[in-house]
Amino acid sequence: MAGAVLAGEGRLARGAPGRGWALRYGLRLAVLAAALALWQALSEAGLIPGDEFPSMTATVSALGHLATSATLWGAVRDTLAGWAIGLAIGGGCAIVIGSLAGLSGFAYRSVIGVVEFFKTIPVIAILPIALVLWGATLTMKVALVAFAVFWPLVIQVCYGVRSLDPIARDTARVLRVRGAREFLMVILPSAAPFIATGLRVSVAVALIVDIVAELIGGGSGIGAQILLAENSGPSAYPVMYAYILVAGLLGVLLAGLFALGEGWVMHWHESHRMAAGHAG
Amino acid sequence: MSISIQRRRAAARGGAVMGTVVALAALLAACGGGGSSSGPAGAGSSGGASSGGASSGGASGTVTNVSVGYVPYSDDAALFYAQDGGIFRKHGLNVTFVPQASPVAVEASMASGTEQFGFITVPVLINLNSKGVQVKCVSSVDGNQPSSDANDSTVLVAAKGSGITSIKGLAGKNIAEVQLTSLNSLAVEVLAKRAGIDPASVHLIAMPFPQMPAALAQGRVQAAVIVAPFTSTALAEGAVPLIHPNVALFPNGTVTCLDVMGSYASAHSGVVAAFRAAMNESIAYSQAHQSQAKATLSSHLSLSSAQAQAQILSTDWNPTLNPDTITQIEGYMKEFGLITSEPPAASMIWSPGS
Repeated sequence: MAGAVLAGEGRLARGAPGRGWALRYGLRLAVLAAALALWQALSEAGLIPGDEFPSMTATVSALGHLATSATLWGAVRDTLAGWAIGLAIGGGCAIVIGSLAGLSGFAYRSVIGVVEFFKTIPVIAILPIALVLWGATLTMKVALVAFAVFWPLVIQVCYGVRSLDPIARDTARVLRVRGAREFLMVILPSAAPFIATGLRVSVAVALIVDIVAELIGGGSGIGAQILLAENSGPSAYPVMYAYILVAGLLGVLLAGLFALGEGWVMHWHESHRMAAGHAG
Repeated sequence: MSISIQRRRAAARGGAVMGTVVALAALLAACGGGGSSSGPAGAGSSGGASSGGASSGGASGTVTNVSVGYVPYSDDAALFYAQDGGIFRKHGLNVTFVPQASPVAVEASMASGTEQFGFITVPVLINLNSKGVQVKCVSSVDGNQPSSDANDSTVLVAAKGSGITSIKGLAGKNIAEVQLTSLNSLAVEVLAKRAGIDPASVHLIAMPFPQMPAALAQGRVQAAVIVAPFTSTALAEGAVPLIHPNVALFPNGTVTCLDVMGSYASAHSGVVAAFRAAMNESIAYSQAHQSQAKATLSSHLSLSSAQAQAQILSTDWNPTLNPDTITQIEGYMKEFGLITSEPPAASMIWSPGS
């Protein structure tokens, strides 16, 4: 949802820069500033004990300190590597397999039960298996991210492919559009909004699973840094929360980038045309 | 502000997941055979988790790559120093460190072949061996358990206003434990039995260390086995120390170690011998130069130099592994139904001939 809002604004920024744009971002910054101020006030009033939760200034200053260190950027790089590769593999497989299953009613009915079963398995439950197979490595992170992304997305793709408008399908048939061409020109565009929604969720899920795998399994990245800081005791809590902030910022950034990409790829779709229309 | 949580907290997590992981580890150990030959398969991932398959022996002149899985805590100072002070390198080892949340995660990674050495607590060591997974202690992490309260940081505390003044008072109360079926929870059950109360009447509740001070202050639990640096928070809020369980039960004992898979040890005894020699040298050096050892904590953990120097390392600095403690803990685990078979302690400590 945040993605959609961001996407809308991306276009809005191009179409009508000025007061609306400034107001939106101004409001958003004001809310952020208010939240940070509230955090600091609660810490200073002693309502949040400092040895259980650090103050905003301590956390932000730890973050500033980290920003100049190679450790932070190395961790961000390692986390992004697991996220990107896992998402690419899980997402790619889901689109291919979901399309194939969606195209055939028989295939769909055959696999849907299995897919629904695996979809509900929490990734944490298979983390020990992944660790035994691959150790605390990038491979382990990628496997878990791909697993977590695959099942929900494959269902989304199936639904997308099956929701093809009969008129579009019949028209394609009349025009003798068949095979790969039919898939690329008719079926895929029709399924695209479903796939986009699924991917938008997957972007966030992949990041969460990636960081959890690092935190619990031990792959290098932001999760491992959170673990290191947590185990260093209360004096390192500002560092721990600084890394948690980094994880949150990364989530916002990736969601924003995805929304921009989605707006660009899906510009032809009615939902995006409508958003653009509003802006104009 | 001492630490040495490592052994307890980590000790702690062993319980629940263990069954699954053990079974898988056994399976993998069986399939993997030589282990290290498939080790470098983790290639390209997270910075060089490769094993020294080719350079068997680790003789002087050749350098063997090994990965060490560890649970980050200040008791790792001697381990960190072995790396930073070049002691591993001197013994022909090129070591990569992999921080992990618990010994269970470390052992699983060792079963995968991507890590050759790792941190383990004795209850986890016994559990694995009793289920047929051969893992062996190679060296101490930083020495054995200290025998005086002043050097130890694991404390059983009672909440302010709970009225508990001795272990007898724990009957029917809620005790926070970082994990059930861990070294800490085992110790409380043993102490309860010794004090003449039914261990089953003590309600153990799993809870992470950082949450314990608040739970004690709010009365959600009446006691807790807590470790530094969280102990000081609890004491400042009025909690009352009752006993240091590990000092009472395992003085100068081995409760943690760095271990190796049996299959790896038999195929690479030279590497394992080099690792033990390096750790023993580092522990001896760290005892003599504690500020240098503590200085490693500021780069390996998120501590300032001053905080690193303020840590009290919870050790007696004796690097000789103590089989009697293993037998003792094994006896407790049998008594409380956590294991069914009791492999001899000597089989769980690596020796060059084995």
